[in-house]
Amino acid sequence: MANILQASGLSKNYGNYKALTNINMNLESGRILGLIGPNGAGKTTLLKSILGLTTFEGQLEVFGLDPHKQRDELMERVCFIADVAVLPRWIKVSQAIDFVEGVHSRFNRERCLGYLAKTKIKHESKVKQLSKGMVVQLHLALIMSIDADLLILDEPTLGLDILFRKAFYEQLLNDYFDEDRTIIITTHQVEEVEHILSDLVFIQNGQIVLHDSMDAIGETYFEVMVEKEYEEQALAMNPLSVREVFGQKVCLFNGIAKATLSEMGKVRKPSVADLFVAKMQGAA
Amino acid sequence: MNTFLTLLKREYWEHKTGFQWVPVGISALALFATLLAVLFLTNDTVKISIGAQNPTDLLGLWEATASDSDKRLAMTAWYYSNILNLAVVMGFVGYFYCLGALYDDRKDKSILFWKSLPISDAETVLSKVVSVCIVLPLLIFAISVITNIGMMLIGLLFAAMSHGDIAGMVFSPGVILTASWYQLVASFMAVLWVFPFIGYLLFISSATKKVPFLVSWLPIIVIVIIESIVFRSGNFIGWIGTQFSGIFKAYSTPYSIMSQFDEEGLSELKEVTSRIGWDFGDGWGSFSNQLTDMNLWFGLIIGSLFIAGAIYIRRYRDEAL
Repeated sequence: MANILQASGLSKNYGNYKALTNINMNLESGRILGLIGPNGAGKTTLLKSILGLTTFEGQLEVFGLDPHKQRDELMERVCFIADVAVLPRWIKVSQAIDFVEGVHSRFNRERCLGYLAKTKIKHESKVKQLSKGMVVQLHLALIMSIDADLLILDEPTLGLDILFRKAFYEQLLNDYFDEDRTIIITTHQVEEVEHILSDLVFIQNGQIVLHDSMDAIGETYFEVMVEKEYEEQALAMNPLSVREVFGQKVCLFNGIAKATLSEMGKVRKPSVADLFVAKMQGAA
Repeated sequence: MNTFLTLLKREYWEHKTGFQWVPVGISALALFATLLAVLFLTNDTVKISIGAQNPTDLLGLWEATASDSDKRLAMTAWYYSNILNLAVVMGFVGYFYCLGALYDDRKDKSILFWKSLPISDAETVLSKVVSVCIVLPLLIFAISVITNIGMMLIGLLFAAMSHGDIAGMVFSPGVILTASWYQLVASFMAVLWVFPFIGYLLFISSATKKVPFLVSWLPIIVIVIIESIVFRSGNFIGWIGTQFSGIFKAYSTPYSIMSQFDEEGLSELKEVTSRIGWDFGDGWGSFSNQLTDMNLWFGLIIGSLFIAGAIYIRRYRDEAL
């Protein structure tokens, strides 16, 4: 698998404010990376750096290109939806399709029409006449019809109802994703994306606090519903976090063999949300 | 796939109101006013002058003893002066277009959508330059041809209502094309003269964080005041005046082209045409004179520098917004 993204010592300051500090990460093609972090953690700054929308210090290469200096070349291969990005209000749906078709050699019109056929969006409508959710649907339809090597989705489903969100992620995985493509997603609705992710990055205060593949995480992080009699023993093993469910302690462990843990109670894979909460509390 | 053409279409879609419907509306209004004048203000004995667009003057033109070719020229001038209001419309539309061109999409954040597509910022900015410098004058040209055909129909209506047999003189499709052609060339010439300001406005539009309208006036006012206080001179305002007088040169040049005839009945024709609202005189500019004017070229360089600056800012601004 080819490395498509490589960052080392990536930093970004706004005056005295350190938005990103010494970020090191890499990403291979054919992966779906979830970039998770609390508000203001630096997710958007990191994505902006990757997209060449801002300057940065340190090394960053995407497809071997410097995103800021070689942005025009990069955008042939990368597509994104920024969290605040809105489609221009004056444009008609049909015009938006014509436009993207006119400027992007990898745009597939039939595909886009296919996506739109599943929605209630009329081609003659202007964006300002569409509901908030429909605008997102249109934006996603346009972007997903582009055969991009790297797709970056910053809060892509904000403002959409659960039915569409589910359908969207299914579509993303089944129709869009393949081994040559890479996707980076940020979202607050972690539980909805965790089953499609292959890699996970937690970011807090501009620093990466976890960067691993889901498989590796599944092998090193375990959550144990500790039986009453093992409580003290479990707490002595330095769990990452402890929470209580129906009077029973649930402990999250890192790097302890599953066999050892299963003696104390029921062992299961922690959800990304629980892992996230544990990591954030630990780092804070 | 044709990126630049698509970008031009994009500009047209977004600015259809200003580029198309406003001038069409103004033309429609002018035609309507002329029609009213013909219907209600005309009789055979009293010629009422309501300005340059009064078709009743056609009767005087018909009665003049000038040759047919002179009359054709006078008709051309009549049609030409008819559509000068479109030049004013073009000025206003162009001004506000330039102010918003590189600002509106930053304000509503749709710039992040445009920037998510493989379009270089140079292409984006140049598509705006081409839209205001070439597409807009071409659209105005098309509208002016249609307006003049409407004017001719009203003239024919007047011909039917009056005793003079002026229909033959008024029915003049070729003359309409000549007049509109003059207007097109004059418009492009005027664009060349205001090019430094087009570049300047695009630069402001690209650079400003807010209210481009106010920001566009501020540096000009400040420079004029500082120059007058510190150097007690007015070179800067003088230069602006030169560039803007270029616009009047550009639009009056067709008159001076049309005045290059020397036939019998000229004085009588002059008398009639002066009633239409303008004077044939020795033109103070020909297009070739204007094209060899160093001021024009200096302005083109200034405008290009501003446009390069606008591209640079849009490309390398730390935050895309």
